[in-house]
Amino acid sequence: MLTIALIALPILLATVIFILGGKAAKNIALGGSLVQLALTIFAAIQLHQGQTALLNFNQVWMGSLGINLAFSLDGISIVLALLSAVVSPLIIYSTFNKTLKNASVFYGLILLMLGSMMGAFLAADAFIFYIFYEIALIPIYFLILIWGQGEDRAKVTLKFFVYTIFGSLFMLISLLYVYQHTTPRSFAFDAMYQAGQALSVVEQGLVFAGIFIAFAVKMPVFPFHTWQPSTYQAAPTAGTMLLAAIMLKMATYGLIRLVLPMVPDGLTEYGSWAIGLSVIGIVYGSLMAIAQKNFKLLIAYSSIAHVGLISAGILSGNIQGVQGGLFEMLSHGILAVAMFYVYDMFESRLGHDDINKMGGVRDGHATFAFLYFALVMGSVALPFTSGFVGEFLLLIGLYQANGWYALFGGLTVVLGAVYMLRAFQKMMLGPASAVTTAFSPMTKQDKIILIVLVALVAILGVYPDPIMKMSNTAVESILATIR
Amino acid sequence: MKELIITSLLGISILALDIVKLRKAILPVIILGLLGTITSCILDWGHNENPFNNNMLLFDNYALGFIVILSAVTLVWFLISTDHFSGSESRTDLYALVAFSFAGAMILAAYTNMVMLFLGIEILSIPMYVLAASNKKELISNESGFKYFFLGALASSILLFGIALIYGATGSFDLPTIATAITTNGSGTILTAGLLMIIVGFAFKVSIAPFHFWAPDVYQGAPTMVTALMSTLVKGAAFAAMFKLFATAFAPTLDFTQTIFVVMSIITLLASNAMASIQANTKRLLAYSSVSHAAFMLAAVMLANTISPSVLMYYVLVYSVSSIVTFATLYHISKAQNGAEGFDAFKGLVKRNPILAGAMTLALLSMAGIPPLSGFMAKYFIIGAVIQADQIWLAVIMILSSAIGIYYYLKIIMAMFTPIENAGRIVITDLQRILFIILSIAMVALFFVAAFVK
Repeated sequence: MLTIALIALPILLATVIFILGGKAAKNIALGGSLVQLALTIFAAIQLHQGQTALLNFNQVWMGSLGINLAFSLDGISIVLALLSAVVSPLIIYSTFNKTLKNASVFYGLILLMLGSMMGAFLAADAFIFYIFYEIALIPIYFLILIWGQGEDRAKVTLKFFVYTIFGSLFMLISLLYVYQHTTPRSFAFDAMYQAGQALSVVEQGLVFAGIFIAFAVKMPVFPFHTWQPSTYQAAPTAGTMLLAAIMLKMATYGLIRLVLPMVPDGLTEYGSWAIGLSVIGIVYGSLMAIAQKNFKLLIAYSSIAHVGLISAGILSGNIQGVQGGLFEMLSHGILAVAMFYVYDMFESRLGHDDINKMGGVRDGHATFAFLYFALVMGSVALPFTSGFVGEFLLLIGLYQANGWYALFGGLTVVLGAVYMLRAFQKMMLGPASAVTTAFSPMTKQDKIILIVLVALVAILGVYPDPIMKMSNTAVESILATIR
Repeated sequence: MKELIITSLLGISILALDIVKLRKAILPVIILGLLGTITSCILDWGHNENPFNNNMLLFDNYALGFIVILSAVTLVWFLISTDHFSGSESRTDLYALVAFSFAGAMILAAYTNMVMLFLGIEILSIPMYVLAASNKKELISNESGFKYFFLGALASSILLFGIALIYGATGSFDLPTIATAITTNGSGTILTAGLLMIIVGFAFKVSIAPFHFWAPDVYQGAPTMVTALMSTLVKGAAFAAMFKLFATAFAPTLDFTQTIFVVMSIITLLASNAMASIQANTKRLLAYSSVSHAAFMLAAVMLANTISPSVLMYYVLVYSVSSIVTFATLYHISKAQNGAEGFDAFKGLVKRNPILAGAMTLALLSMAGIPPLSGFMAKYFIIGAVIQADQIWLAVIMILSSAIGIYYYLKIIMAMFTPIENAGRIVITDLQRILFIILSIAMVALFFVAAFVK
């Protein structure tokens, strides 16, 4: 029941907000997301204590087709659920200083999206996963179309939407193909795993290709990334945060949930092209990030690099890779919200995000400089930050698959330091200038959000153990199907 | 049988009420008649009547299911288009024509004899020719009716020729007897020729490529609400007839016809989606989209012996709901701005009438097949069945064409959410507002109750 509550709560609140409207919308949304956080923590405690009664839900929906409303919260789902629950109040709170038209619809759409992403993370049935994976697209489409920036955002969103659906339809074919081999017909993950593993290696390779294309578009992995920078650019900051922090994690989560246990032989035999593309994405994303002068695009490209590493690590199919991938999803989600928030602080104060036209902000803004620097350290994976734990494990995992992958994958860290520190230097350091005066002091909202994020980065970096322990058993049981 | 009698009486009483100058009573009578039909279908559900008139008609659950769906569609159509013919002095005649056409649709759901098939098709089509040309003062409407009539008559004659050839090969008009004759005698040249002609005749009627060329012109020229009727009532009834034909009489030939249907579906999907994505007129776009949905329904016919008819029923229902919403919205929009039907006409709709914009968005997303809208389930059932029948390529093309579909449906959605300056509100009546809300809820709700589809 708890799993149902986690999904239903945001969706119900969204409906309430849609119907009631009015000024209370943002407070309802924030309050709801905090309740959601409390519920998720409660679920994590239940899981920790081994009480799974509340965490599994199974109700026949379309019996003759083997489609059940099945949700389950295990050690892997909880990491994503926690990520979603932790960052969503921050994302909603980050919009409080903005005046939005039709604010109630805006917050309603955010809640709808949170609910459907939670649904994808908790689904225990491939059909349900697919449905929620798709539903999440509709709210974000309207968030960008209505509240986005730039004249060409209609075109950008069109490309984003068509591209993503186009990719996911390949996943649908793959899932249907595996489903045809289940007896009796069922979309339940366990049945799908069994049927998938029984397929011939070539079939598994093709099924893998279909699913990977869907996820590669969503993450995005080179060369399926072309929608991403322009969409991130056009989206309102809260939308970009949702996209980068949570939405793309549906794809990386899907790799663990659907690819590893369902088509293990196809992955080992024919998966290297996918790892190769992910690694190319790492290098490409990093180099493009270095070339950017707009801070938002810089973070967008750096996201391609980080996600490429997550994807490559998970696909290498060993415990370090998958654990590292999970942890890095959490860390990247937190850091993505943080970085886009920093972007928004600059953008709203200066009216642009061109790092070449900034400088000297550190003067008189020492606290902000410290917090921002701490976040930069997290992004470049300095030890004792959350970024380090995830990327270190990912690189170990990747090294076990192939030393060359690890060598190029390691470039995320090296090149990441280049572009992040360069950006920090150009934005913050240097003599005081007109920018320094234009940059008004941090508001209470800025302080709360940044301090919470920095604290999360530090706590996860120093003490990652609880998360690791939580996911360990589930990851091992997934990997056991491979051997 | 009661259903058919009620509907025929309905058509006659509409005309009678006009003669005795009781025009105000017409709409209530129509509502009563259609509700009566639905009720009587529900009462008859499960206990089949005996075949009527020497095995001419059989109101079994298959027929009743389609009749319920089509009466609901017709009922919604009458209610939502109350102001459509208000300017026309021959409004009652046009209403009566719709009722007669609906009687033809009913025969197509219930026939068990090739003669009744032909009669049903003619009763369905002939009022439609008149309705297409009902906007007498518009050249384009006359052209539409003229074109529809000529090509429809051609299709009917090809169909009739096919029926005659089948009679020659099997010696019967009766569907089960034809099936037995084909199984025992095997197929010969005459049978094959007859079969092909029937397929071509139907392909014309339901606008399957390469016999779909009339559809965009006719759909565009006909008054918008008549177009809505063509793409829902006519299409649904014709597919009900086609499915029954291939589930019973021609079931033994499905191995042979499957290849033809696969090729036709693929051509239809490719041609319609390619053409739809380059249209600038939304009515033409919707016409091509209607053609592409026909390809999905054709796939259901192709698998008539393996899948449950409820799959086709569900598709017809889901498609009809979203189709009525799109055409009704288009009607209101183009009425408000001198008949404009381009994408620009949709600009700012979200401000001008949020209910229309919301319903239209849901309808387009449903047609595009995006969850949680019922269009996704409808397509899912068909694609699943196609994969099960090992037609992976057809499934892949269906899925790719759905992706193209999203592109052109989103173009309309984008326009609706593009703000414009000083646009007036688009006014609709309270009844229409309620209907649009009910249909919007239906598009989502049908997704969740899809479990009844076997």
